[in-house]
Order: sequence, then C-alpha cells, then structure tokens
Amino acid sequence: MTRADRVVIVLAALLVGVAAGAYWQPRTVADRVEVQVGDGTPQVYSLDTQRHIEVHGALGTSMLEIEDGRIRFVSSPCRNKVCIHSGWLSMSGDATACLPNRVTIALLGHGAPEIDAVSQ
Amino acid sequence: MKPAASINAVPDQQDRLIAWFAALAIAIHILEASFPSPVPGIKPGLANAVTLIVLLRHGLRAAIWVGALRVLVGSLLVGSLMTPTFWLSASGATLSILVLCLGAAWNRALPAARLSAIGLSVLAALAHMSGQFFVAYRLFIPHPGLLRLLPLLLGAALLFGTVTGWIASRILARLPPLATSAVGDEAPR
Repeated sequence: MTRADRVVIVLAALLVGVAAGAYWQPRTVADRVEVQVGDGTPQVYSLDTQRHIEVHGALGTSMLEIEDGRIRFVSSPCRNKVCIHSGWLSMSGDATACLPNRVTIALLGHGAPEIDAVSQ
Repeated sequence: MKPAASINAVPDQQDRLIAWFAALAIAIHILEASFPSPVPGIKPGLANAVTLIVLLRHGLRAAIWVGALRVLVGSLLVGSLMTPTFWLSASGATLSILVLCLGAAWNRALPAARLSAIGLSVLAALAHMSGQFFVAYRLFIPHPGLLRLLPLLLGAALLFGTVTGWIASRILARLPPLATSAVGDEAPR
C-alpha cells in the first residue's frame, strides 16, 4: 500500500463519516407508513390498523401487509424480490422499495419532522 | 498476400487478451449475482479486481474494454439488460471507469505519489456507488428516505473497495512480469 492509498482511504472514511452525520438519525418506533409510486403523490397509512394494501406500480400490483405496527411486501411482480426479502419494517426511517415496480415505502415516526427536513 | 478484409477480421494479441479477461470478469459477475444481498446496491464487486489488474498490467484501453464488456455481457447473461438494475450497474461502471482514467492520469503525472491497486479500487468503488446511487435517486426513486442508506452504502463501498484492491494487489504481485512484447497503451506494437 502506497502513501497515496492511505490518503485515499482516510479521505473515503471521512466522506462516510460526513454522510453518516448528515443522513443518520436515531431510530424510533414508527406509527405511519408513506407509500409512493414513482414520483407520484405519497399515500400515508397508519400502522395501527391491520390491512392489506394493493399498490399499482410500473409492472403490476405490489401487495403490502400492515400488522402489529409493522409492514412488509407480501408480493410484487419483480424479479429479485428484494422488497419481499426486506421483511417486516417497524422503525421510523426504515424504508424499502420494489425498484422494478417503482414502489417505495418509508416509515414515519411519532411526531417526527417531515423527512423532507433531513436535507442539511 | 491476404485480402484486407480477412486481415481486419483476425483478432490480434490485445483482442484475445481483452476477451480472456472479460470472460473471467463476467464469470465472477454472474457468480456474485447469484448471492443474495442484505441491502440492495451492496455487493462485493470482485469482478472489478479483474478490471484493476488489466488496468495496471495492460493499460487503460484494455481496462475500459473489459469493464464495458463485463457490464454488457454480464447483465445479458444474468437477464437484467435494460432493466433498472442494468442502468444502475452501467452508470456505476461508467463513473468508476472515468475515475480509473483520472487515477491512471494521476499515476502518470505524479509517479512519486502513485496509487496502487488498493487506492484505485477504493476510488473506483466509491465512484461506482455514487454513480448508481445518483441514478437510483434521480431516475427511479426520488425519495428522501433513500438518502438514509447513503452512509451504509458508502461505508460498504469503502470496505469492499479496499478488499477488492487488496486481492488485486496480491494477484498482481504473484503474476509473472510481462514480456517486453507486452500489449498496452504505451508499449510499442
């Protein structure tokens, strides 16, 4: 490893630290979920009520399930099923997406500021 | 004397070299694609070790070919060509190759402060992650919640970039030195 390598690694670690300082937030239990398709208007649902939500995305219908203050993707017409493998989400700030179907879900905390306010 | 057309169709030494390394990179790319990742966007990127080795042994032109062929053929074989995954991969690869160009220029301009495979790999990994994150954020999910993943994604890029670079440097150290007839950007043909 050369000296320039070490400088690069230190700078990269600083960059990670800066990003963490700017975007990391303490986790609290979420009580709402924001569901968005593409850049459309986000729909907000309460996590208190057990229900299934059908979301019509770019490829087809993604099925979400809310139960016991948590939410998960039950099915989605994508190939990798990354969204389904994310499993149950329950903490504020948790988010997952079915990228091929353009469906994003993000959990919001109790009385937490709008996520829009995170940008530095 | 052969007709001109057939001379053009004969692969030269550098073509064979590029094909060989691209095949290796594609094999690694496909192997990696078969492992699930805990967070979308994070994977070790071991195929980039091949690009790095080609860059440091055979020059920039061969490295660009190997990198581009890997993304194109790799995604064709995995089945993600023209899907969002492909565009993320392609934008990341484009940016990381641009950064490798800058790194190669840096090493030519300042041989005293040259970057080894490890530094180049970290820079390329960060560029790859930034490129695909930017495309994901701007094109596919312009949601502020995605920004929360950024520290994790950059941290993973730093970690895997270092590991990949270390692997590449170990392999480079074990490879026999190139013969003087080596193909490369600066070498006489």
